[in-house]
Amino acid sequence: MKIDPDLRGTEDQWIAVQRRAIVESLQTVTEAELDSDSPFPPPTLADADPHVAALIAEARRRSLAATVESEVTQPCLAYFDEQVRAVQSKK
Amino acid sequence: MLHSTKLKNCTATYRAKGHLEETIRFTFAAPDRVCIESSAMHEGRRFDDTIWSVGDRYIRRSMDGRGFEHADVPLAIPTLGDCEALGVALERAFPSSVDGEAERDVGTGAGIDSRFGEFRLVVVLSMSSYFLKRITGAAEEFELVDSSPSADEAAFTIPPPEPGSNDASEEDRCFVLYYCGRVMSYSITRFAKEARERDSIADEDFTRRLASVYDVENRRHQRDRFAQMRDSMHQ
Repeated sequence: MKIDPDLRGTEDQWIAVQRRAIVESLQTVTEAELDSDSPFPPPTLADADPHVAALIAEARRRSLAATVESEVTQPCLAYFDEQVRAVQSKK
Repeated sequence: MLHSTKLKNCTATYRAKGHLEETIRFTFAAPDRVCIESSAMHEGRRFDDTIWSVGDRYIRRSMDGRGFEHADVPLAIPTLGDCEALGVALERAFPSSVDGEAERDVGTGAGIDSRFGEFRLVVVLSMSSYFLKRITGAAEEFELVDSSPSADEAAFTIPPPEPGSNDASEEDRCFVLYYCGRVMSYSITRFAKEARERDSIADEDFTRRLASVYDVENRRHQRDRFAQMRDSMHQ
């Protein structure tokens, strides 16, 4: 993500908005992947009762959310913060 | 595949009948060293396919009687090594599931008879060799015609692509990632469901244990996709 130097004056608010946008966009991607209407929905068991199917879906959702958080969201936020610090240091 | 920690060197040849008749030879030397060769005749044309899973590479050489096609996918696709990791995670999360599966008393003419919606799939195992003996009910039916407890190293000599061969690496990469992901996810879910029914695991405990298995699958199977997501966010 490129940091626009012209926005340095409003940086605190802008940084917060950008960080939230990163988190929300990755949450959207994660939720879309778990959507049964998506082009590639997760497989289901035909013989699982609805309660077990719901537990399986919850385990899958919980794991994917946690993995995306650790493998993508946190590294992206760290990269973003690093870019911001680089711009701030030039002020 | 999830039980491959117990699988030793072996070679198995199957005859498959579906939209065409095929002979398929499966050579297993190690979890990350597998070769599958298939050959068939159809309308006077010979079809040959050889697929290797060697280390973290998927390689294919094909000939359909008119031309050649090849794929060489140097990415970390789900290999038998990934299945091993999943097997370990499953065993840790649902301790009796893997052993229980192996010890299940299936009686004489051991088999698994499953229904998937409209389909009835019957899998028959040889209780003397533990080779998969027959599969019926699938789009193709398989029958074991020959087996041995050894793997010929010559099966892992990979030839270069033929001159003019069509490079289908990108298509194969998408295909392999998608289907391996589904198979792994399906296997996890079925083991977990059986463990819950057998061990009466409480809801939250079941969800937590299953999530820990999906963590392993996500980290291994989706590592390339996560890298792509990070790269796209950095741009």
